[in-house]
Amino acid sequence: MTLKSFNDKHDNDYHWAMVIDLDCCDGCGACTIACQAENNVPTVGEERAYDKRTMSWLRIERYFEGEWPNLRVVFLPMLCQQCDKAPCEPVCPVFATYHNPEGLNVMVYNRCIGTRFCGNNCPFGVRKFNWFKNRWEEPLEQQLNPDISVREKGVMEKCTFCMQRIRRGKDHAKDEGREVRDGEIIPACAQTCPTKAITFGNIRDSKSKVAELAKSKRRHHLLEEHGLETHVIYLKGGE
Amino acid sequence: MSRHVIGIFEKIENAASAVRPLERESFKKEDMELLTGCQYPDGAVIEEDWDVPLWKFAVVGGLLGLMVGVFLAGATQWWMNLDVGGKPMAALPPLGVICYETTLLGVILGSLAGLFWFAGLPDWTDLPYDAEISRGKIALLVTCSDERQTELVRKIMVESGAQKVTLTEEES
Amino acid sequence: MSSREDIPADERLPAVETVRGQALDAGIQAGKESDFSISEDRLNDISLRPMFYTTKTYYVLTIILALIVAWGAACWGYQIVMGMGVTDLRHPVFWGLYISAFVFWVGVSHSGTMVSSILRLSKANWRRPILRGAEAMTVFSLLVAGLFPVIHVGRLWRIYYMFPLPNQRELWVNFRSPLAWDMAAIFVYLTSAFIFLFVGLLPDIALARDYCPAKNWRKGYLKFLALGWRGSHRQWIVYEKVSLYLAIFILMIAPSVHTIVSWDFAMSITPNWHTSIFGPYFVVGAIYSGIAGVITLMVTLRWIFNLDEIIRVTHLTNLSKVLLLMSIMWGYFYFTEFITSWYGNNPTETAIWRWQTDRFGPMLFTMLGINIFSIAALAFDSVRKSPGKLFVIGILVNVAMFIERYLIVVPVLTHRDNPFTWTDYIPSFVESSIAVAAMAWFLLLYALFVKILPIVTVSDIREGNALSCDMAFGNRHIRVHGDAEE
Repeated sequence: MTLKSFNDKHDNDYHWAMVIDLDCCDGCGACTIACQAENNVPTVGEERAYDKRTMSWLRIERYFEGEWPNLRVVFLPMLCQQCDKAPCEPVCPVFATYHNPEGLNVMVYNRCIGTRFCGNNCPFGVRKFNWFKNRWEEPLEQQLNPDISVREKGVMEKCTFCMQRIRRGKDHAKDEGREVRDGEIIPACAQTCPTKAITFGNIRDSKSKVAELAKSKRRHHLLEEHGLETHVIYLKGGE
Repeated sequence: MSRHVIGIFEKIENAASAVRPLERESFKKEDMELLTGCQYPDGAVIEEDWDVPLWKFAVVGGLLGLMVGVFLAGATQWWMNLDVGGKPMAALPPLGVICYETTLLGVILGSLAGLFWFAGLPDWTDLPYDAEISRGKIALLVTCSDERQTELVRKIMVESGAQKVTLTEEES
Repeated sequence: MSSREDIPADERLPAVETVRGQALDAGIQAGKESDFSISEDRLNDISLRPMFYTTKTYYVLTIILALIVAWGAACWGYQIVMGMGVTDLRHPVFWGLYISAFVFWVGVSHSGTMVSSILRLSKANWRRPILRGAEAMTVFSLLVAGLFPVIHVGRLWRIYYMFPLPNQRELWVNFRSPLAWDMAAIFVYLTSAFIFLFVGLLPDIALARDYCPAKNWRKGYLKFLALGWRGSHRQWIVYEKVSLYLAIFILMIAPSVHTIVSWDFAMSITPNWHTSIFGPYFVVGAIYSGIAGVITLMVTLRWIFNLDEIIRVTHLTNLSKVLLLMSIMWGYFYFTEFITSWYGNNPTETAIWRWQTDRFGPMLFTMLGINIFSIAALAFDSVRKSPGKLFVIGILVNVAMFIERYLIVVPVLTHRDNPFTWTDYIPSFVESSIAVAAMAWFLLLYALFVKILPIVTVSDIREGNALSCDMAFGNRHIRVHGDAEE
């Protein structure tokens, strides 16, 4: 069975997208911790974090508006934007990152050889590279998620929209012989967000919550000038 | 049994002056061979007037290279197919780039094969040779069939100013 | 290696001092121009002396180079075991010194074949002594360049995923990636440069085979590599045609290779990399640094192996004129690239330029300063005629061009679209060690090559001598070069 025949069955039913309401985000950072726990993202320690080698797939970017004392802090949760025209994909010589039919920009860790071209070509800087062998001190290795692999040194990784949860949700729906219901699949970050700023769903289903929110006038995409057709939609309105 | 007479000349003029008398004694062009340590223009001593059909090798090599390129960047994409979310299986620009490179590689390898084919290389057998040519001397090699011819050639060469004339015999 | 006393007296080569003495007797002094054509035997002696005679200095230098290479190899081993974290690369500076060095070495490789084939095709008579040195430089700098992507990848033990090897996992190479093109181009270029070098060497290997004393250890492999070349007229006819074909087609390959290297950058959407000028700009820069490399190597060979009579000042002067031309062309391209992005005033690009002049200011101005200085200096005849000054300029230009590659790769990555990721990058000790060791590796390969194969294109020089003569012209003698084609 080739990959193509597998994909044909599922083609076009789903297109996953995320809406982040920046007006709701208070920059608490719970999503980054949830992501870290869910996806076996290693903690690198103070020294390496200072070297800009943190592995977080999702980070809260903090920007300051205005001059002291009229200072305002704004937050931007930054994660892989799951571009439809992803610049990282065509540059990978080994197909370690490619586009799947559900609109996800997926990453195959076992295929990656670490040329790091994808990271260079990502304007958001969300791709992370395993600079060292990762360690989990006892008993931390007990909390590793068995649904997702622990990455070797020398490979790239990034946000997958919690691929393992999507797969579980779809398997569940298939067992019951139905489509995935809206809100059935929730990534770790959306689940944890105390202000419910993050919404995840199938944007192809016009009745889904993401599709509704995406119609908002407050909608915008990051670095739209590159024409990447990103699938993380940010909402940002008045003050 | 064939005999080879090798005359070593210091100057190109002397070597050239030996050719005419040899031809008069009914030695054909095929019987004479010029050995030099560097390239001399055709006709300076012996005229070969041989337009080497090297282009055949280059064209065949280039076509093979082009086929390899089309196979690699085109055909295998269908064979080892991977659905990349609606993008075409085989893209044209990469096909062009890869084909350009492989075609030129084919041409280069074809030319090398042409060198080996037409120049009769590699051949490590002991063909008649004189290492003097590596000192800038010019060697004129004449193949004779019998004793009489050998003597004749030796005489002509010495008269033309050969420094040294040697005879080698080989079983055949 | 057998000592001098083992060889029978009549097979012994003349000692270095004797040959020098003869040269001086003949009225030739080091570095002084002369239209005196050297005798055939002396041509052999001088040209093959680097191969057969080894001085103590050579051994010392080679051992030092080998030690540096060993240190670099150890650093590489450490990097493989520890992970890429031992470099100073970080998010999102994924490419750094290794890729700069890769571009630099591919660049250096360019002038070898390009210059050699252009000069062959245009039948420039002064080409003869410099061909081999330049062609060998191409092969060895490509070998060094090809090493850097291998050093750079995160999982070296999986690098075969990049090669189109049939497998049962249904995995294949993504030919859309410029890296795949790059790999193909480097492979093709290395193969053809090797063939180009070998075909050029063939008659000289045969010559060395005849010249080599019977008991010398080189005799065996020289006999094998000469492939039974006899120098028959028919062989020469084929040889001429094959050389022509190789020169033409390698001239088509070489620019495509550096264009593809530039596409590693230009095909991305990274600001300042995504420019259509990168292809020709890289090619010109490559030839520029390559010519400087050829000049440096030629002067070094002259000094170390006393090749003053073979590689004469005329040849260096001619090369320096090409260098001058290339430096002006490079300046033009650099200016064009700068002024278009300056006028475009794209915010991201402007930020990068500002960052480049700010954080990387000293490097940028060193690089520009050297290049402007070299243009100015090369305009003077006295500089072009002085091997020592040309040597210094050659080194300076290559330093500048290394900086230029570094400034293409690094500032963009440290300071790109997303301001939150802005960072800094200074190559770590391990990275710098490997980059220095690569230089030593290149010199070591070159030094070993000189000992096993003839570094001077003897048969080409011999041909030039055979086709030229001294002619009385009024009150002086001039040297006339003939061409059978005209």
